[in-house]
Amino acid sequence: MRPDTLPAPGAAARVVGVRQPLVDGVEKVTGRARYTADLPAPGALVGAILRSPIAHAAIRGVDVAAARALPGVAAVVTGADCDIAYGVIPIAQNEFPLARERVRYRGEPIAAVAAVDAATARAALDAIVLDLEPLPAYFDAASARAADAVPLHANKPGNVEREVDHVFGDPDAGFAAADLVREHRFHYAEVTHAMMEPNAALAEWDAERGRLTLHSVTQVPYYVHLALARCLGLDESAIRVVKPFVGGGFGHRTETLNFEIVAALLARAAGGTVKLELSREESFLTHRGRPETDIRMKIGLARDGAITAVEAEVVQRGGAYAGYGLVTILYAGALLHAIYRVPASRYRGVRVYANTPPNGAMRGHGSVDARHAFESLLDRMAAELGLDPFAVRRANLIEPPWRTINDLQVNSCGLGECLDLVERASGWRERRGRLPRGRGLGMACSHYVSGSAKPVHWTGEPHAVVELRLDFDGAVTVLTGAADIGQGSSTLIAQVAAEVLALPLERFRVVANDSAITPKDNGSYSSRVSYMVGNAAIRAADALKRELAAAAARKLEAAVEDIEPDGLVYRVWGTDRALAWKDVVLAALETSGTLHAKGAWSTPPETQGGRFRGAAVGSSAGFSYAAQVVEVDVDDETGMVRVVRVWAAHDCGRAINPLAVEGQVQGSVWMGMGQALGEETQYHEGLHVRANLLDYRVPTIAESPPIETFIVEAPDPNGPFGAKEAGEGALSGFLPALTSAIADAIGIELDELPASPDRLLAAIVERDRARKRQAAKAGREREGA
Amino acid sequence: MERLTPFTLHRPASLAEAVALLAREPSARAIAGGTDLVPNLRDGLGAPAALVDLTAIAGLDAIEVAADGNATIGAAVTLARLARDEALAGVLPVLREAALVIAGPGHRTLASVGGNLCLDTRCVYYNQSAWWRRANDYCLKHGGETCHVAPQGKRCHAAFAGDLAPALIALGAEVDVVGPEGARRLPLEDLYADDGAAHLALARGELLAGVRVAAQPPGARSAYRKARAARSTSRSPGSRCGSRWRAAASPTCASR
Repeated sequence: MRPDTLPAPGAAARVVGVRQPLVDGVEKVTGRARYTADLPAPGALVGAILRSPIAHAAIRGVDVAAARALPGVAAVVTGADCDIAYGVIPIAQNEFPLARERVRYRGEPIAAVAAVDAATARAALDAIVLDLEPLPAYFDAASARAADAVPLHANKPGNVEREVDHVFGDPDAGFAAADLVREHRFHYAEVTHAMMEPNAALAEWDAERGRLTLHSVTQVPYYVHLALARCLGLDESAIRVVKPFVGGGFGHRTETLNFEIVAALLARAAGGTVKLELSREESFLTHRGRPETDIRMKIGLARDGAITAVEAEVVQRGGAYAGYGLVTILYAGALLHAIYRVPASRYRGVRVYANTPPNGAMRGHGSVDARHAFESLLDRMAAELGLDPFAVRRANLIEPPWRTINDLQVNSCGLGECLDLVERASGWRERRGRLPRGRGLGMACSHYVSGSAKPVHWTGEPHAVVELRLDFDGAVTVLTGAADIGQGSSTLIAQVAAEVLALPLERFRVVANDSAITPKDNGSYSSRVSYMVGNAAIRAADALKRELAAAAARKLEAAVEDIEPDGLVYRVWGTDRALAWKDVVLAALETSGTLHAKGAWSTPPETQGGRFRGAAVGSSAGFSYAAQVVEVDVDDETGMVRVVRVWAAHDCGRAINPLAVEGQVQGSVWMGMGQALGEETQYHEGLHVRANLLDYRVPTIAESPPIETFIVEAPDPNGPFGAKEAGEGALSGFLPALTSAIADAIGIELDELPASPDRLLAAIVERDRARKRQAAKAGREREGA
Repeated sequence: MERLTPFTLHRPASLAEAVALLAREPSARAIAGGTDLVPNLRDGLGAPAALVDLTAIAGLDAIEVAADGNATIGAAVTLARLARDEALAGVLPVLREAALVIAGPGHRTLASVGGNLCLDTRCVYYNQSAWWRRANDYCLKHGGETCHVAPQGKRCHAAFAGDLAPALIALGAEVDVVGPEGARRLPLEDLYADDGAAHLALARGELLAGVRVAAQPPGARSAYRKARAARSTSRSPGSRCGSRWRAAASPTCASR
């Protein structure tokens, strides 16, 4: 074999860099793909959940006698059936699958039934009698933090889940040295994922063997496995978790969800199989979205636009349970860094409990609202300094390698190229400030981690493991625990392995997410899979290639260094001697039968963050970068904003699958657009008012603008073929680019999102009033003079 | 959304038969496309023992444009057909404009003129699941005593959100209603009462059979505009205006 057994980043490739339709695309578009609710389950019982009608109450009694007595009811479970709290962060587990002692939000599961059909299940739920004693309830962070507020959790007085105080460098000196210091407050409505597939779980209890099998919509089968063992008091070896096709997650499913444990409890209580399908409303109530957030942002700039200091205070209304809460409040501060050079910062974050559905991780986790506040304030200050928004960003670009003041390691950064591309493509210099009234251009930057460098459950194991299997049929099976949730991870892993093995992609099949078969993977969250699992796949493929090359060398009586894999032929370099793939495989099998190769990878320690409390959050082996320009058309009589066009450039290090990267960038931009334009949850005394896809205003194709996507490749030295993430980085740039475009169009600077027509009109009315007041005051002063 | 409660589906061949079925069973509901009725039933807003399907009634889906420009439109005409009909577009182009802002193409192939004129009123406190409404103690329109929009008052504030009505009212349309007592004709605007809980002036057993639009005065122009938060389907009321005007005369404008 030639030297360079691992292809260098940027090396000529035959599968990597190809616009590859997803390997499971045919199943999806033909309808053959089976999602959890599609799985055949003959004889399965129907599961249903009874949800709390009250926002905050002590549970005096849950009387299930009448429900249990109904013919056709196989099982009824309540909080009495599971007294183990769970939660995705091991140090913050305060949620029960079915409420115990207290209910804390309207919609919280309080009991569940398994019955022969839906009508019986419904009748059983109606027959359960709840005795709830209402407690004071709080629906916003401020009232939850009031001195006399009743704590939702006894160990969290003042209803604060977590406070973060991080100071790096000398921010006071930084502000003193600045030529311009400005501070502003922003408010962000709560939003949610609105993934296409409603929640569902299929739980099978093998009563004879005491074993549980769960099929579920999860992004994190491994965490679900651990939670099931914990809450059901089972040994992990008695549990099998399988992830079928999943119709999107976006962070909704990056933690074990209550209905998954409920399905398992029902199955065991009934001694059989239970299919639990949640309605769209119930999926909204499960929530785990991006919290309602208040931000005070302060920036110090030098005259040339260089940042001298940043100060931010972020308050998040976390909802009723801990979930990912402390991670979200940490991300908001951590990712103020690693996008520009920030010499000093002060961050205060407060995560607050309230009687609303619990928030969780949502695409861009924690960084989105803070990015909007930062970019918006930066733009306004740039205008005051007479600087173009692009110039201000360029004044602060990171040149890698760079260690941020909060100990994040930046080894690659293509943000400069992203800026150049969208500036040029949008005609920014020629058009900005010169468009007709009502039309505007705005820009912003964003970034994200390629996986959290430290896993949630730190067992000391490698961060990613991939196995390859090759047997007599000559097809390579990729075994991975990486959860494909529609982002194309199975395709990427196969592409990477195919590239290393120099085999056509058609030779690969991917088996993913069956805990009985596939290696454990931490899950699809924080955009870790391409980077971490991609690297593990390279190593696995490389190990397999070495074994195959050794077998071919033996057969061809050549030196192993001279063997060159070339598609379905292994050649002896410099000769015309060759061995067909099938014969290579057979030669390799001769030694010890079925071939297995394993590849493992972990983030380099220097990328795992600093030593201070909370340092792991924000740390990553590689950061993606994005710049975008948004053009809008604003009707200042109706407050309607139409996005005319978006130009988005995303630095993903190396586009292993440019087709998938484009799709992910467009999806990120589009999801940011939803939050920016009209998505918001709304509660009536804690009741979720918009728990459906009509009233929760996700943009449809009718509102979708053309999104011109540019792929920038600033290869990361640690990434697989230099690749970094592509699924989240572009999202948070859209929101500030939009509000900046609105400011350019009609001169209104919004401090609150979404930029819905009512808010825009209110801002216009307020501005007009302020102008009249100013004019009247000036008039009085002139008369007085 | 839940399964529907059990019901008997009738498919009468005549209006008389339909009226008889509706009059006989107190909870019976008429259904054509079902695009408004079925989602509401799935939310538990009603549990009719019978549904009377109107789509098999001969002639109920007829569109006629006479030589003098008078037009009649059967209640079972779908919105898609209404928008497509060239003869109608020739005399009343505003109807095509109004029809095309309603929902999307899929809904319009099922939704009917009669159904759109008789849309149930909507409210954020009403169009919710059974669990939700029970947790909120129901409401004045359905199952409760309080209007949550204006809790101090005694009126239901659920809003009518139909798009054909403003356009047709601006055109001076009349509707034909048939019932157990016979047939009657009335101006379309008289079909509506200012009460979110009882907004249609239809007695039990009565149903809308069709719409008549007289030929428009020479030189008349009409238009329909809809302002809403999102271009796509939404259940929120938005704001609608249908108007008709003539050169040198003041416009009539029906708006909601």
